[in-house]
Amino acid sequence: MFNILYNRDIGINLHSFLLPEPVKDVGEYGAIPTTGLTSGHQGCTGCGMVTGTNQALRALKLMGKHVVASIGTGCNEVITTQNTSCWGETSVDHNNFPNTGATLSGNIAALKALSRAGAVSPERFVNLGIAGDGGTYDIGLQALLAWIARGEDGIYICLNNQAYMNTGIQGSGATPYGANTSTTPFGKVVHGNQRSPQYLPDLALAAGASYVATACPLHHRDLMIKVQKAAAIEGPCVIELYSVCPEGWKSETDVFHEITELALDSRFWVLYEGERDRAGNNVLFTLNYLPKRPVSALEYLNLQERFSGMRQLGDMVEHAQALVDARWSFWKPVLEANGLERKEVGYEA
Amino acid sequence: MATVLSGNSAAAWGFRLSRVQCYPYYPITPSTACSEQIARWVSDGALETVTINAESEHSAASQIIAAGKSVRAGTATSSKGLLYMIEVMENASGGSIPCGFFIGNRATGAPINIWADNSDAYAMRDSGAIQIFTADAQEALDGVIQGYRIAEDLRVRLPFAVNLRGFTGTHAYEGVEIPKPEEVDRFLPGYVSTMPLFAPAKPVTYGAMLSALPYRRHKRNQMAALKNAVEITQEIGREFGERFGRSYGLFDWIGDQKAKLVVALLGESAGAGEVVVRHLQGKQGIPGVALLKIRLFSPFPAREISRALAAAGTKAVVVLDEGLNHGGVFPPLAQRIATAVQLHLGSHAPKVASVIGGLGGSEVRQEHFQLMFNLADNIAEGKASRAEPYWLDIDEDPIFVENENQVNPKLWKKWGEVWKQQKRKEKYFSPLPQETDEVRIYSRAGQGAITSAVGFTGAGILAGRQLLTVPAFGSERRGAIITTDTLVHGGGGQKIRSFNRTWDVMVLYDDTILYSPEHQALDGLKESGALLINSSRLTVKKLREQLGAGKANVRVFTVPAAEIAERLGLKHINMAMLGALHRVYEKIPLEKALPYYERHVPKPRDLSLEAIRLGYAECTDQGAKKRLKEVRLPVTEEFLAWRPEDHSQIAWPSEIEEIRAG
Amino acid sequence: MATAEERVLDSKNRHMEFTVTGRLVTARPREATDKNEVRGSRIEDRVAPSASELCAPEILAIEEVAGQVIDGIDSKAILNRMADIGPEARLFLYRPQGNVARAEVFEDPRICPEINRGAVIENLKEKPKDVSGWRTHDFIIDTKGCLGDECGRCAVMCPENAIHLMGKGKGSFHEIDPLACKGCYICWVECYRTAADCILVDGKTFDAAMRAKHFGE
Repeated sequence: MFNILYNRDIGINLHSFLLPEPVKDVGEYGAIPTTGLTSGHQGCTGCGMVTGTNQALRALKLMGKHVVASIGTGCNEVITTQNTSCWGETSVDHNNFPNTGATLSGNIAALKALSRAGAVSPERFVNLGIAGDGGTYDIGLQALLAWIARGEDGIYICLNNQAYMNTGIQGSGATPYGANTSTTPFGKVVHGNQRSPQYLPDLALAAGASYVATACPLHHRDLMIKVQKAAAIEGPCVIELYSVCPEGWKSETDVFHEITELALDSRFWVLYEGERDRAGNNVLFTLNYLPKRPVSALEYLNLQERFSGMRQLGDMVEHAQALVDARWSFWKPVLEANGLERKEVGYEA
Repeated sequence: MATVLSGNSAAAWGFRLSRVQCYPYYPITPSTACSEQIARWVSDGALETVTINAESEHSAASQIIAAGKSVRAGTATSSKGLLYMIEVMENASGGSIPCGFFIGNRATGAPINIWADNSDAYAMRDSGAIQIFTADAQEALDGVIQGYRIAEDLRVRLPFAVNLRGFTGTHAYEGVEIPKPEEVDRFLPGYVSTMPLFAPAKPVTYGAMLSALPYRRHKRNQMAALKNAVEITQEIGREFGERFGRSYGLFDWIGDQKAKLVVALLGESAGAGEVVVRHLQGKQGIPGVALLKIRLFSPFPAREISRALAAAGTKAVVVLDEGLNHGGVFPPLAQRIATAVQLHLGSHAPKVASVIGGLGGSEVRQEHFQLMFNLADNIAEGKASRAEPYWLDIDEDPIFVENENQVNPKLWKKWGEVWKQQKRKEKYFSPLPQETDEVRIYSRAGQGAITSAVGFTGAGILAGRQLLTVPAFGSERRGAIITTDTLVHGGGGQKIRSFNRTWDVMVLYDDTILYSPEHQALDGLKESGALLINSSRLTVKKLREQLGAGKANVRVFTVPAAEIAERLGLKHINMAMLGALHRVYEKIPLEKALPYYERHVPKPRDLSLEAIRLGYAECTDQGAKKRLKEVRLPVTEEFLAWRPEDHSQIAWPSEIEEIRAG
Repeated sequence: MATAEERVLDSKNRHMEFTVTGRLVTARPREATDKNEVRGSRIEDRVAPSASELCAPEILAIEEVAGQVIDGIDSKAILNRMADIGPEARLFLYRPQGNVARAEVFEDPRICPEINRGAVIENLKEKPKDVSGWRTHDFIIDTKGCLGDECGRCAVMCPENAIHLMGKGKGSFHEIDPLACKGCYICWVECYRTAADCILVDGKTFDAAMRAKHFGE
């Protein structure tokens, strides 16, 4: 295992103790002079996953890197490559569903071989793996963890929309407790998804990742900083993106902003990062976002029809809240150190 | 100058000489040693390849397919490993990626079976790769190099697989010519990807999702390119011959040019067939015979094979398949040949019968080829044959029935009338001449017998003979009794690959092996043969008693190999045994072998060489004057007297306990 | 500086020092670099690509070979060979750093010529699909209200890459590509919540029902 250290400061973090220089800050406001994916993809109106991919690609291009994306089968892949390609200046290698980690590995090896042969300079490129939560938590887990364990230099982004959205909303290893999916339906006897999701950053750190982070496209500055950090830090880096899925979550397309805000404030989704100090065997965790107002689990569940059944059941809502609170208790030392307490209008000193 | 290599090492040399830039691997029996060899070279800095220690075949295949978009990539696998790769394999063929697979063919189970047959290659046949079958280590090495030329040809650009039968191919040690790297470089220029991923000026998308119209148009292109591989394999095989002196084609026709009877098969089992063809050729009453050893299995050279059969005027083809096509009419090779001749030759097509054999490590022996030529003769004469496959070595379902009662009654009901027409013809079964000497070593796993046999093979090749060493392989672990077999042939260009399994020389690394009830080590020893035992306590007299009256003429040798090893401080007795073997097998004299050993024995070299000399010098045969000190410990007596059936009666000798206590 | 209970985390960072107390880590600017503390700099322009890059080989038809002077190959011999093969003849030309490293004539194996081998798609050759049919409302940015390159929130949140910055500096504004917009409302909400509320839906700045739903107005 590793020692857990906490960054006393809460918030967006341009610096890493693994990097000599801070990464570039795109700021909360201001034009970003690149594009990632091009328009015309077949994704749902209001798809959050595409926004995340777009921002990640832009962040890498801002660093002057050519992105070679090893992408796993899934929504993100099929909507962007059907008889065409929406990947613009990004080179794309779509291989299969279960092998994004392995494909990433093969491309990293190819880059190594090409630079050995003097054909390319490796600094010019970044190897990026992209897969959905099914391709990460379930069928692709073996290839992903082995890729991390081999310590190869690259970034793996999991676009987590919490179910198999590509194939019609079947439950995955990342589906939240109580959610109604087509394989974990809300029935009279069994009420939706009975298991709680796994957590990718935990799995990745256990396998030996250099850097893990969670992000969401609503906080694009934070997301792009994290992607840039992952590109600069040596070794396998894993970022999980909160990807709003209007179709799968049974929510309106226009509540993208609200849903993400509620997820963050209810702490269903926590923005944080962990950097591994190999010599000292420490992982330094930074909490990047402090909820602005206290939001109960129920309030988050209310906006999404996939929770419509379970939110009628008090004990299920309680259990969901307990899961959230248990995860959140991890951050107690930081909150205490900053003298923060949960008040009616959010966290206050 | 030939080097002694196993089939696996030869394939690894193929990858090395092809300057493979990326080699992901996940080892599986029996192709493990290929990847081990590559990993060893990379660890020693002899090879610049980027290796990836993958966590599964699925990932290894994914990695080679990813890397193959940019650089030359290869890997090795077998059996279930190949089946595990098949899920991604079509991404290589569909994506037009010319990466290379070496496959040590193995059964796919269940039940689990680690030995050879073609089930894995057959399972792969619909995944769009070029499939080449090779018959020995040399062909495997040459096949990998040519594989990259074929696969990277701009008219093809598809993945390829070089197949070699597990164990009898992958683990057989034989003399292999390793081409010079600079000559291979001239034959096989560097790989340039037509659609590179790491070219920022031209970003591309691999593996896009295509709907029906572009999908079927793409598949049409893919099939056209695969079909091109027939012509290109031929072209490149010819060019390889011009450069390296070993030509290759789509298939080998071994035997009479005007063969009326043909046995067709894939790969290494052809070795035993060649002996039979040579023997039957020109015999009274036997029409022309030939072996059709098919090298290119996918894409199947249907037109070329049909033409060859038509040109020879072949009347009957018996196809041997070392694998199944569950639920199919004929197994894969027979099916391909039957459709090919039917489509290309129509009413002039020769008759085709199918035989299944060689499953799960079953040997395809010389007598099986005699059977198959006999079967071909019968059907050429118009005798009825089965419209489903025959099987080799199934007592209840023989090809020819000698005794109706031995046959499964259900089958008799169905095929009785056909069987009655199928007659065994003795002219096909005349005894085969013994062209080889055969040496079998019984040792315990871990004693280094394979090392010594491989050394012996190298030395024999240097002395101008043709040798082949095949270690037995199974789940036996350290301490188990294992065999290592070596075939010695006079040379003269003929490759002999099949054992008669009657031993000219039997070597026992340990005198206790004599008493293993499981092995009956002396059974296969020829009467005119020789027995060599590592022992300093057994007398020749004792051994003669053991051999019994039936083997009175066997020459008996003992060598105190353990003592020699101990004297020299060596861990293994194998070098002393190797020296003694030269005393016993005089056709490869020690003085001719020593120059080889001086360069190739294991370290420490001088001690190993000394052990060889001492083993040779101290090896004692029945006529020798010098007698070894006879050990007469009661423990030994007791041990030698022991038989399994006495097990319950034997009390644990108190001496042993005393010795232990001491 | 670190006190007795503190230890300094071994770090590559040239600007910050990380001190550990118990399990808590505090980042402070390193003293030496205090004055020129680096803030994450704003990005102005794309980084120029480096000069030497892996080049993709070219595959040329006979007309293309005939229509240009290619140094380093025997054009006449190559054209002759291509003419022998016929209209399917192609020249594979690999010119890393402008010098011919490989020139190989071959017959194109494809039956369906518009599909690349391996079904590989050349990204930039493709024209984006027109998805305007997806939307049921029209979204237009009121250029007078738009903050231009000062803001950019709508462009960074748009899932369709449909919003583009026009111009530079003062007077710059964002525009929605009518062929690319699917009408998801994300920019509309984003603009109201975090920027200038300058996006018109079906020509209106005010849609009572939508605003009531979102912003309680």
